[in-house]
Amino acid sequence: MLVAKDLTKKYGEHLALDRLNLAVLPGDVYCLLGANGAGKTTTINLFLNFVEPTAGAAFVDGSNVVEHPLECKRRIAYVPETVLLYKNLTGLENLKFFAEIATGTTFTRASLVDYLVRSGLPEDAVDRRISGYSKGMRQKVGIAIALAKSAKALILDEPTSGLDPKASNEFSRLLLDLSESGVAILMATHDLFRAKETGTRIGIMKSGVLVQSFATSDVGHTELESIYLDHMSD
Amino acid sequence: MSRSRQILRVARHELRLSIADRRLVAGVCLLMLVTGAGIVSGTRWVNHQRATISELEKDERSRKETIRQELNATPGQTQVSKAMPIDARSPAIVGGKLGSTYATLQPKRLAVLAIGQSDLLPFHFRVSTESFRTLIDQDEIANPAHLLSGRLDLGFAVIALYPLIILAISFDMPAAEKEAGTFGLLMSQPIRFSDLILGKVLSRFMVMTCCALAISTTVIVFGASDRGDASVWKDWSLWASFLILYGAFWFALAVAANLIGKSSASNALMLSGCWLTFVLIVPAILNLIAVSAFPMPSRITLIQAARQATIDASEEGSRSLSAFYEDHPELAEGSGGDVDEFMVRSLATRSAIDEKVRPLIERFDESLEQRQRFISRARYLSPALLAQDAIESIAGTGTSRHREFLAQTKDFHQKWQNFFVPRIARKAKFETRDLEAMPQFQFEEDRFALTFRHLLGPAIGLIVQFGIVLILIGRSIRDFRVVG
Amino acid sequence: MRIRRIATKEFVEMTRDGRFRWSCAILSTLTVLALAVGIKTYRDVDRLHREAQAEAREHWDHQGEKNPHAAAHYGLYLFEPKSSLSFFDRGVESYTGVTVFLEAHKQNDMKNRPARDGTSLQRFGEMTAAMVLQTLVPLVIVFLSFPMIAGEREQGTLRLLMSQGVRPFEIAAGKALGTVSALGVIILPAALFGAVSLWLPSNTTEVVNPGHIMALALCYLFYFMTFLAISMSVSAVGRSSSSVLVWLLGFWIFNVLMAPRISAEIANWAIPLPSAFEFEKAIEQDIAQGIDGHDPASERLEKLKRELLAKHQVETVEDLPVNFAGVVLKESEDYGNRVFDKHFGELWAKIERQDVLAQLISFVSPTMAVRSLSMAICRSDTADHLEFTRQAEAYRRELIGRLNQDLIENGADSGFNYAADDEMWKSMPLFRYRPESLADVLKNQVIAVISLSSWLVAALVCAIGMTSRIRVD
Repeated sequence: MLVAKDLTKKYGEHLALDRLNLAVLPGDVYCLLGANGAGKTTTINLFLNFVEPTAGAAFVDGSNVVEHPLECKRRIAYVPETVLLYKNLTGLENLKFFAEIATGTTFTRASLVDYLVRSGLPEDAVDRRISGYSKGMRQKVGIAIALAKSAKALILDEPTSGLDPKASNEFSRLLLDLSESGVAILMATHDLFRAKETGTRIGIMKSGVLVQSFATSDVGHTELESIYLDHMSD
Repeated sequence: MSRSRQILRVARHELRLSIADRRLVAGVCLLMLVTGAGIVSGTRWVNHQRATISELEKDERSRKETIRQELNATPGQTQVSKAMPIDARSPAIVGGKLGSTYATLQPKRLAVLAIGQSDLLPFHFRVSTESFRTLIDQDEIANPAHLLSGRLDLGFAVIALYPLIILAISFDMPAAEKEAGTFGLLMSQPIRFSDLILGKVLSRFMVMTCCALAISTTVIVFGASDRGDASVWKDWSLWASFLILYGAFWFALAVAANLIGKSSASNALMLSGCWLTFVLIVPAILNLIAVSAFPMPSRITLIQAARQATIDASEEGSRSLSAFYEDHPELAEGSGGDVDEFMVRSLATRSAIDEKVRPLIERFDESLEQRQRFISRARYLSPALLAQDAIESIAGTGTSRHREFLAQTKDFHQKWQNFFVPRIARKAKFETRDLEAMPQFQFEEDRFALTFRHLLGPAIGLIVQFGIVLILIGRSIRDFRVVG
Repeated sequence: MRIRRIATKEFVEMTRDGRFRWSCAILSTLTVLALAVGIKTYRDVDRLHREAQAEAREHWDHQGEKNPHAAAHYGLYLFEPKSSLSFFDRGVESYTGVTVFLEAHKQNDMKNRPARDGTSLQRFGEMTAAMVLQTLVPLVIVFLSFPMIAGEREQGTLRLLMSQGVRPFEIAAGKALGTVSALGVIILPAALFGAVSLWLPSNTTEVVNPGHIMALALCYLFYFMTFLAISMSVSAVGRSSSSVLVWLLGFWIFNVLMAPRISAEIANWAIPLPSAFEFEKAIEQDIAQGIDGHDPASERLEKLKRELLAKHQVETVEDLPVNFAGVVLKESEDYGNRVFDKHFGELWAKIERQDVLAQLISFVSPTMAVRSLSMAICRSDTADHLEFTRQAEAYRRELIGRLNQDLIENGADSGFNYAADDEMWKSMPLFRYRPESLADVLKNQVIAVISLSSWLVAALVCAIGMTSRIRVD
């Protein structure tokens, strides 16, 4: 679903991403771990065609992201690290706007409310302005947008940063539901615990290189942490 | 998923956001306020002009009536009415101050649009047998500080403030999204960046265009004369089109700045710099160049030349002996000279002087022409100058219409001379049939086609400038990167 | 000490900024250009006026033999001299007449407004040094200082500074000092150019008065300080640096664009001026019918005749020991002058009231205050023009009066054939315009002075107040 082939990005002299090879299949929850500047955000930007690769290519459902940007964007849903949304509009109005831009069709109120509720937003909150939402609630709207889009792939950037344990837990469950329905999920995160809990595969990035990649089921929590720290200390 | 529907969706969404943001509403309110003030000011000025002209016409009619009565009185006897005995049988006297007529420039139908140059350039001249150069040396009474600062008319509001409001509501389009954090989310949707910008601009453009049309209609309803006349609506359509075209340029500029992709603060700096350049600096510098590169011989030189010519034309040296005798007829009795004789001699003197200073005046007009030609080419450097030209043409308060007025006044003055000089020279007596045959001034307004042709220049200029900015936009869109 | 460090850092940061370098270059170029052209134009026009005035007097002195009243009709042209500082601030000089024709029986208007031969471009504003200082420098001040506090807050460096124990006031003072130094760099080349050109020898009518220059410098200093202080205050309380910029730009637009025009509109509405036609008609009417409408000229003439005959106890006019024509002329001249005084007096009073209104409006706009003061100190405002007009008129009356007196005293026997010669003409006094002293000018501008000072004080108080209470976030 999401494939990176020798994906490379150079900013002037600085090599931000060095020949990344990656595959996220439908139902996978792929967690990219790594320090700041390791290349996680660059990878995401490349999949979203926010920047163009210096070499190699990124593919979404078989289509090259650079050659068919709109096609690919139709199939991906993206939830950025800080979901800020339009603060003077309500959660419902925000969802309506993004969903309609995303799909080109009009949605009924009922279907929109349904998406929000399925994302975990309490029904009495849908008509409140975003300025009154907590971070967790805003993130749920982001997920609702992904649902409304019927995206085949979901890209998340540091989704659990700033969430309290309860919200974090709810979020995990949402992700698992989505992956069960066949969505390919790529997640950049620092949160080792969540990565072990929800992820199916883990990839560790350092200085633009994918240094190690394995299935989550292969390791335990403590093991994961020591592998991670080993790489970080080199 | 059609592109146009995507764009419209963004536009609708943008409208809702803008209203919530209140900046758009504030901008519109400000525009309406200033527009209202401008219309009021323009209307007052036009009414003042019309009132003055009708006063002049009344004065002229009453003087003519006095002459008629004099002519119909017992021949050979001059009536001593009050302290000013008048000899209505002398063509020199009638052709002078007594029977002088006014060449007036009525304000055009849509004159409320812009006061333009009409506060500085006179809209009426008193035509008599005086030489042309003294005749045009009349000015209206005005506080020079007001001439310096200019008035708060609709023209000013449109040329200077309208762009500012457009820039104020559009300087931070994607920047605002970026700063609000919705940009990433939005750009991950299947919508082209150019369509996003287009949608945003469209909503603002629609709002501003509606304002522009509302302004135009208000002008017609409250300010124009002959509302029922079809040509008023033709003028209206010209005016509305210009407004929209001018607005389009500034919107395009805002888009270009937004695409350069820096923070909204630097957009604001860049755009205010553009505004400053086009509206204040370029005109001031061009004016400097026009004045320095095309210096005119000073009017003072003209005065001195005329004086010298007066001395040379061995007259007794009085400014005009006939005027002297107009002022002091009681003193003329003892002089032993024939009044008519003096009139003829002074006429001769005057024309001798005019001949002498003619080359100087021609040099003068030539330099003025050169200056004007430079200006008419240089104005393409700034949309504000083009807009000023267009608005003043439609309102009829620009320099070109005034030059036309001067030219027609000059021709009329010649007609007046041709009527009176032979009669004075022949020492003929002025009769009632002469009174009826006296020339009357009627300003020939440009036909609509000519106005349209004149506006073509500014229109093309604005379109070209708009096109240049569009090219800039096209290039920036290609290079635009969402991140980095 | 800290303040100086902050100032230095601010100065270095600013001068490295591309925006600063650009504004520096553009502003300096424009100012130097404006000064250069201003000085050249001033010298040329001044020379022209002086030569013309000399020539006009030549013509007058060599009129030859004629009746004094004929000489009074021959008249004399006066050319308004350019004020020595008009190269800096041209004020309203383009819009006021430059010559006036002095003759008997008529108080003429000043004619030949330079602007009538100008272009429509000049209505956008004339490029003089004063215009650059009044409109562009405040804009540059805004551009340089709007991120002063708000920008640091956004960058996060404000928090860092304040956590070092730096007091908010020190931050503000240091930044202000740095900005002022940066501005000094901008204005320095222009000021040097101006100073050098003033010191160069020039053959102009007037010499520049150092007192005037100091007064000017002080005004503009107050003005710039006011704008800086306002920028600082807004930057301290603004939510984001772009909202600060928008507010400050709005303030600038109001000051530079709108306030003068609003002032013109209000003045026109509150104190309307008559049209030229109405004005002349009213004068004609009063001379013919008498000022109160009941004293027509013919009756005045009769009355005068009777009185004079009675006084000298003769029967006919020819027997009078004085030239009757001369007496009549003098009387009509005096009566005319009364009428002129009434009408011109009213007109000028109205114009002066309009200018006072403009000064009052400066309480909401510091730019109006500095505009008014700058024009007044450079003696290129309406008040100076009116002063010249008054003195020209006084001179006219003296001139005509002397001529009439000569006719009355020496022309008794010859009647109208009496003629005087060049000796008489040359004996007439020379016209010398004495402009108001700086003290008088400032007295007339007292409202603007108070306004500018109040603005400065208020802005400083605001700045100190706002910056003492800076929010870190």
